[in-house]
Amino acid sequence: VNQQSFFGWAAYGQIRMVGRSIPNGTVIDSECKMIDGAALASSLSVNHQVPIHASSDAPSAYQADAAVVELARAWSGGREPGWPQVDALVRSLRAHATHDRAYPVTEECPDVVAHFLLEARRGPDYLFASSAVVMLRAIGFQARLVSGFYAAPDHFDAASRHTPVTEEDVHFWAEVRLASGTWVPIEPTPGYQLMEPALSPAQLAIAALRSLAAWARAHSLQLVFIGAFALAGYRMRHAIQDLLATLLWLMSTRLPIRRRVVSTISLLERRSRLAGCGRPRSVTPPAWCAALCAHASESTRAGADTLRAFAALAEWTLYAPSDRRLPAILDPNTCGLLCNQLVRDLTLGHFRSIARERSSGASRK
Amino acid sequence: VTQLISRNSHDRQTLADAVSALRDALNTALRGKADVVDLVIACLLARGHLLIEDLPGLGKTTLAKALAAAIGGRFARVQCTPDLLPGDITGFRVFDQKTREFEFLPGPVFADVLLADEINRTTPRTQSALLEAMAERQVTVDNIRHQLSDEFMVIATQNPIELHGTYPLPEAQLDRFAIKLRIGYPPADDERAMLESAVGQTREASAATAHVMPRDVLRTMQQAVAHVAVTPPVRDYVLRLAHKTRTHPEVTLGVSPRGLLTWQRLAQAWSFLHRRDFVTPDDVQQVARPTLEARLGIDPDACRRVIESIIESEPVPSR
Repeated sequence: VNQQSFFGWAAYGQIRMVGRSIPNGTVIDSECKMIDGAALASSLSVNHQVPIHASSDAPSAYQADAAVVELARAWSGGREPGWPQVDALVRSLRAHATHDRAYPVTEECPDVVAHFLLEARRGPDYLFASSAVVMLRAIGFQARLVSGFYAAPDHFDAASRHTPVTEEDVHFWAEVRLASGTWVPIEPTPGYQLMEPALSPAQLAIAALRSLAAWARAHSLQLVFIGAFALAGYRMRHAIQDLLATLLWLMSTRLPIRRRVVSTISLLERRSRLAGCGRPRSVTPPAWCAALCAHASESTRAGADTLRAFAALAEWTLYAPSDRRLPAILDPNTCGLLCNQLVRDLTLGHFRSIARERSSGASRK
Repeated sequence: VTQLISRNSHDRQTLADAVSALRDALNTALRGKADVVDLVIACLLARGHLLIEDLPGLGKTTLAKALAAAIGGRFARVQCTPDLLPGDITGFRVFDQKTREFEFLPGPVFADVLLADEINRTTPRTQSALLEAMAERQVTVDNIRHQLSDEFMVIATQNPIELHGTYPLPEAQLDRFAIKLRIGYPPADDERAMLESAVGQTREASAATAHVMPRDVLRTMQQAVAHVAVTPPVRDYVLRLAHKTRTHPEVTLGVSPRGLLTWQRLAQAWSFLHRRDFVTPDDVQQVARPTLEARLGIDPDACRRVIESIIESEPVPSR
């Protein structure tokens, strides 16, 4: 492609390949200037000189339909002269019609743009581009139709940093000429996007925050509901865990007595851990249960004997050889009742009161 | 244990009553020291020897005498001094002019309870005379082996303050003691009761302790203690604790295998005292301090802290 003889002039300022076609798979690196649309809009105001060249020499061969002109004025009306008018018109056009690549256009139609805009309101991309050009020219801007390949962002290959294009990617769009002579592309076809200028990390973060805030505003009710639900869940997480553990423990009531006692010990230890006064790892469960007698409040004073009996049962369960019989003071029915009684008495709230008692005792010291 | 008890025709209640009577007798002799008394009984049931490290006048001799009287055994006391000879403890052979033969005169070691008072004041040579007696319950004099009492128990004392002119017990000797105890001062109420009870009594009468435990009952209990079950998780727990004593940075000498056996036997005795026929980690912990204090190579001031840190750092078996 570096041979001068390959190329000729298509128009002033435009070169074209003469008598040749580009082979499939040819990699073309393009370098382009991108204009920040937001910066362009903000830099223009009524008090500033309009940098978009208002053309007075639009081609006279084609006279736009009056209704089309009226539509263009309606879409751009009420906007500041310049880029805001262009932007408003393009946005309106994108929302006005539906992109339909297969929509047929008959040759008998005298004005395809008017038909597209006023009747069909659907069609392929070149109709969107042509309509944009016609309408922009109708309100006094210099615009032109452009064709080429659309480098779809979802086709970008990150490994090779290239975007493969095929015949399916042939696309039409439009350009508007600034007063400086720069042609600024615009994208009137819905579903297609202009490549945005690369953002710095800070700009990306701000843009992400803005989009997040916009999303949050749009879903504020749901967010409030989810937030309240999450907060309640967080505050009740220990109670929920305890409920699940208790349900699991209920399944152990049909197990042999040793496994049932172990299950009861596990449940009580879990509750104490959730309350912040778990069993120290160097203290045996029986000794721990016996020590809980000291914290038995007035309401659970009757449970002190239960605790001592359970401590003896826990000793037998955890440390007696399997051939040792149950201590004489305990029979299997009593053991089951003992487990049930403790699970009822030593609730999560009871352990929380023990934790509070300990912390207040520690602070007094 | 149940079979053993029935074979020896003592039921559980008899043994429990005997333990209670022994506990009462020792608590009467040594007021306000129930925890010390329990450890002494555990040491007796584990067939171990007792080292008491404490100040004079706190009841070491009283405790030893009361123990000997309670089990109905002979009591002997040796005041250990630098000029004490091994023969003064074990006994020696003398030439009998009448029979024209050497006759063996048994020493105080042939008692059931031997109080070796201030054992660290005698020389290592004399201290070593007790090694064989404590480990094997026998003494060898002039190549003749003499069997000691089955209930032979050494209660040795040493003063922790006056160290001038003393001979610290070697590790081999320390390892033969089951536990090392400190009696400490009794609570004020118990001292008051002691003073009240002493008024109007002669010294002999106040020191008298009844014979509350027949020998066959004691033997049955010692055998029963040896049969108290230790499940694998508890045994592994003891092993882990022992391993920690050997790897602790502040401990220069950890628990020996002999010390480990003693520790387990004491835990069995402690379990038996609390009417259980299986050992729990609580039993192991309860006897850990006196057992380890007797044999760990460690700064005495840091001993209690290190033992507590070792126990606290090791999770108990709980499933």
